[in-house]
Order: sequence, then structure tokens, then C-alpha cells
Amino acid sequence: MTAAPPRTGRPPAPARGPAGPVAGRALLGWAGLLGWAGLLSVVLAGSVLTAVTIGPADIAPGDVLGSLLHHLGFGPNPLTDLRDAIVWQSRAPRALTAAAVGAGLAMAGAAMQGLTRNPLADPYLLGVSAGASLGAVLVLVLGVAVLLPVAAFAGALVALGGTLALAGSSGRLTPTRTVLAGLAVAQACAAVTSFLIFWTATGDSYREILSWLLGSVAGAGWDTVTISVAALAIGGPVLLASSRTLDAFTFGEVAAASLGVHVARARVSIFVVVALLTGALVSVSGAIGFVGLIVPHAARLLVGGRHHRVLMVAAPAGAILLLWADTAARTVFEPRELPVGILTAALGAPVFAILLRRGPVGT
Amino acid sequence: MVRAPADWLQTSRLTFAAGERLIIDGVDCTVPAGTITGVLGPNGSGKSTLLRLVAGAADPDRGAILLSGADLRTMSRRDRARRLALVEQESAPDTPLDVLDVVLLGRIPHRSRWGPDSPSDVAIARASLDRVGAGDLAARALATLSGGERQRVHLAAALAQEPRLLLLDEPTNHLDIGAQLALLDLVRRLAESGVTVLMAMHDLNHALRACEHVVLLADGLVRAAGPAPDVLTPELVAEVYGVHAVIAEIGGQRVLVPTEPVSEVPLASPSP
Repeated sequence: MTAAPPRTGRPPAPARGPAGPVAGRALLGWAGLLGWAGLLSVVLAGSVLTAVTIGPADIAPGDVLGSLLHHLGFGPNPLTDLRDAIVWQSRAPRALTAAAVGAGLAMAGAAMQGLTRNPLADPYLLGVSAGASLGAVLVLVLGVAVLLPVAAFAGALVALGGTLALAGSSGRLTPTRTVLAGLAVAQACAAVTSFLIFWTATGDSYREILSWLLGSVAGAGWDTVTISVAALAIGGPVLLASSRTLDAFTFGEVAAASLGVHVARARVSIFVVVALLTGALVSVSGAIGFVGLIVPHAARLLVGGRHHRVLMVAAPAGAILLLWADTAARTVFEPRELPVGILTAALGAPVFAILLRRGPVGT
Repeated sequence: MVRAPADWLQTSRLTFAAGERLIIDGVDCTVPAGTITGVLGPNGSGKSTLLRLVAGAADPDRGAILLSGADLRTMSRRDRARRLALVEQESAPDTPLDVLDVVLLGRIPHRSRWGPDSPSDVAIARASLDRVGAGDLAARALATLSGGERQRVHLAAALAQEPRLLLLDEPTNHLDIGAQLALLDLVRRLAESGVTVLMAMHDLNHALRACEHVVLLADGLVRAAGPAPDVLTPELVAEVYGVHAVIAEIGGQRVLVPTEPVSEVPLASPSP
């Protein structure tokens, strides 16, 4: 069945009552969308609360809630000062940082995949995270008086520009070329980052190299919560507001232009927002891989490919994923702690392999 | 749907170069309102580029494009996308979208920045699918459709833009002959319902069958333009395509049968 015969002479199209064909995900309106996003947000809130109770010092969920209420000005604090500090100076900021970084990376990945029409695009694979790490480490090592997130943003932007220029240097920006260019940029940035730390630091430098290259939120505090949440609060809504534009790129740049999009301007502005978001997140967590790759794909399976849906679902899903990955990273091999990037890579590499096998990635 | 009258299109001295190479070299052409006009010419003659220039996907180096008298360059991109729509040559359907979602992409020039599709957007998308006879495909995944079905869905997405000028780039490409004729029939009915159509095509017999007017391009220049039977003469076909052909009339339908290549002229392949 290639095409329906001309409809002249046939009765008009059947009314679309309950018996008529019903579009699936396409009809997911506000209700269905907010349903998914809301459900995931509830799971996220529960996950944060649970993650805070998990660790060497056993703290009951009820006590955490009681302590939270106390800090908000209600009732007595059920926790001792030491335990209160474990919850509020260590675990809570760490959980919130992980959640914000996961949400932001997932949104950045979704936007990059949409804009480049490349299922393998993500801030880590395209070298953006490595560039941000390098920017941050440069500032730390050289002691330049620039804010860490600003330097990371600059590094992310330069790396992204480098990747895209390298990929597009001979004609079309194919997914394969983009990933290869990203690999080159990421390796170059990682090499310089490692060298800088190795050259200047002492004692703990291997751990520091690892935490920048593989990513870790072990050093989280309320300052990292502030930076990552602020980046998410600024970058997230901007990307959501770009979802119409991202949709327009579904069938390529010519199609986007004929839908009224200023292609060059849209590309630059969305890439800058992605670099801003990634830079700020990497400045608190190092280069955590694969969250931005796998979460948007999972979100698409759930709610289809339109970007307002993908972004609204990917954000809480990315937060949940990274929160639990980090909780596992700090508890499973206790008292050793894994850089969380090892866990996300272990999850992400098989997904990457599946995407490669599925094929549209070719030339 | 209340629709505005169809637009007419005129290009004047339109020029476009990619690097050093002139692709469109001063094209003057006119597309009367409510007609189907075919853009013909060998591979590399500038057909697709002409459509892209009109659609705003590339900016001409010189010349003007007038839509019912208004210069397209004075129009905002969004306004332009509300008046004309482009259906490109089919590319690989590597998108996870369902059919209705694909058609809703056509509402982008009309919708707000935030949130899901409005009920009116969905209604217009549904109506567009019905207009191309693909209403029953709404819930399918695009990747599961046949070539003919996909082409109809892309056409529906373009119609969801509510265009007064529709640009089609080789819409019958990769379709079997049944689907080709069904598609041409559909384009004919769209034109009758008040949409002007400018359609790049390779098959001269399709042009004779479907188009009131044709524009014959050669090396980025208009070699001839006018009613299809006047332009598609054996002499011009031999000159532009390098193929001898005879004209015959079968069942009241004029057909053009290629016989042999003109010597010393490289054969233009029938499709890319």
C-alpha cells in the first residue's frame, strides 16, 4: 500500500469519535506532559530525601524531614549537631548538586542532539565538557582572578566552536565527523588538563585529575548547589523556550529556514546557551559523561520527539539518574568512593553501542 | 478553513553563487496565481536552488523575489513561512516522530514559543492530513510508512503552514508509478483549492500531464518558459537535455518519448 486512492467520490472522512483513530504521543497535551514531568519530579523529590538518608551514618528519613522542618523554623531538631552537619553540610548539598547537574546535562544533550540532528551529540562526546574542565583547571592552576564558572563557560564555548569548525571544515556536518571532531577536541583538552594538574599539584593530584576528567560531585557544598541550580534556572527555561526552534530542525536546516527560522542565529544562540549551561555545571562537577546522551533518548521513547516534551521529561529524569549514580558511587565501594563518571560511563557506553548499531548515524 | 487567495510569484534578475560557481544566473520567471508551474532542467541546472531561494533557505546575491507584488526580503521570516511552504526531496526518515507530530511541525510559524500544540493547531494538522488523504495515518510512526505515504505526510505538514504558495522539490522522486500519479492528482486538486504550486521535476511527461506552465532551466538560466506544450518541443529537449524525442498523442494526452541521445553530448541521467 503505497498511497491511498484519490478520495473524490468517497464519503467524507469519518468523524473522529471514540472509534476513530487516535494519535498516541502526538496528542500528549499539557495534562499528559505535566503528568510525566510531575511524576518524575515527585520521584526526584523522594530520591533526594532517600539519598540523604543513605550512607555510613544511619539517619532515618523521618529525622531528615524533622530536621528540614526545624531548619525551616518548625519544631525541634531530632538530629544531633554532628548528624545535622552530615545531612546539611555534606549529603544534602551533594544530592542537590548531583540532581541539578544531571538535569542540566540532560537538557544540554537533548538540545545538542536536536540542533545537530545527531543522535550521538552530547556535551561530553562533543568535547564541550572537556573544554569546560580545561577552562576551570586553567583558572585554578594559574590563579587568574576570573570566576570558575565563567572560565569553564569560555572553555566550553571554545571547545564547541573547535569541534564544529573541525567537523564542518570539509563540507557537511555529518554525525560521524562531528563525533570524531569531538573526540579529538576532548582528548586534546583532557591531555592539557591532566598535564596542568600533574605539573602543579602535589600529593592528591591523581584524584584531582580523575575528578575533572571523569567527573565527581564529592566536593559539593552549598556554593556548588548555588552555581548549578542557578545555571539550570537560567539555561533550562531558555532551552525550553527554544523547543519550537529545535523542532524546526527535525528535517534539517533547509526545512528549518522554510519554517521561518533564522538558521545561523538560532544555531549560535542555542549553542551558546548549551555552552553556558555545560560550563557552569562542569565547573562544579568536572566532565560527567553520557548523562546528556542517554537521558534524552529515554525521554523520546517515553513522550516522542517533540522538544518541549523531551526537555521537560529529560530534566527530572537526568536529575534522578545522576543522583542515584552518585549515591551508588559514594556508598557501594565504601569506604572507597568512585568518581561518578565511571558509573555513568558504564551505563552510557552500552547505550552508545546500541545507537551506533541502530544505524542512522552513518554518513 | 478560510483561506486567502493564492499568491503569484515573480523573480527578477535572481542570481545566486555557491563559492565561485554561479548556480542561478539572472532568472526571471513568473508563476501565475492558482496554477501549477513546473521547473524543469537537467541535473545541476539550478531547480532545487531556485526553490530554496524562494523559500528563504538561501539568500540571493542579487535580484528580487516578489510574492503578489511584495518583496520577500521586506517580509519577516515568520511571515514568509506563513505564506509559502517547501517540501524538500525526501531524506532518510531517521526521526522518532509520529505522523501527527510531523504535520504539527508545519504549525511552527503560527504557534507561540511555549508549551504544547493548541487545539486549533491540532485541528488544522488533522485537516491537512485529511486533505492529502492520509487522515488514518495520524498515529503511525513516520519511519513505518511507505515512500508514497511519507511524501503525503510531508505535503500535509506543508499545508499545515496554510501557504498560498507551495514549493515542491521533485515530489514524485522514489515513488512507484501508481504513487506518482496519485501524488500529481493530489497536487492538481490542491491547486484547484487555491494554492499556487511551483514544482521542480525531472519527468517531462509528468510536466505535460500536471503543469499549466513550465520554466525550463539550463545552467542557471531560463532557456524557455510558457505553457508546457509550447516549451517541451523536440528541438528544446534536444538542446537542453541532449536527447532526441518525439511527441505523440495517446488518449488525448500529449506524451514525449525519448529516442536516442544527441551525439557528443553526455547523457543527463533521469534521476539523481
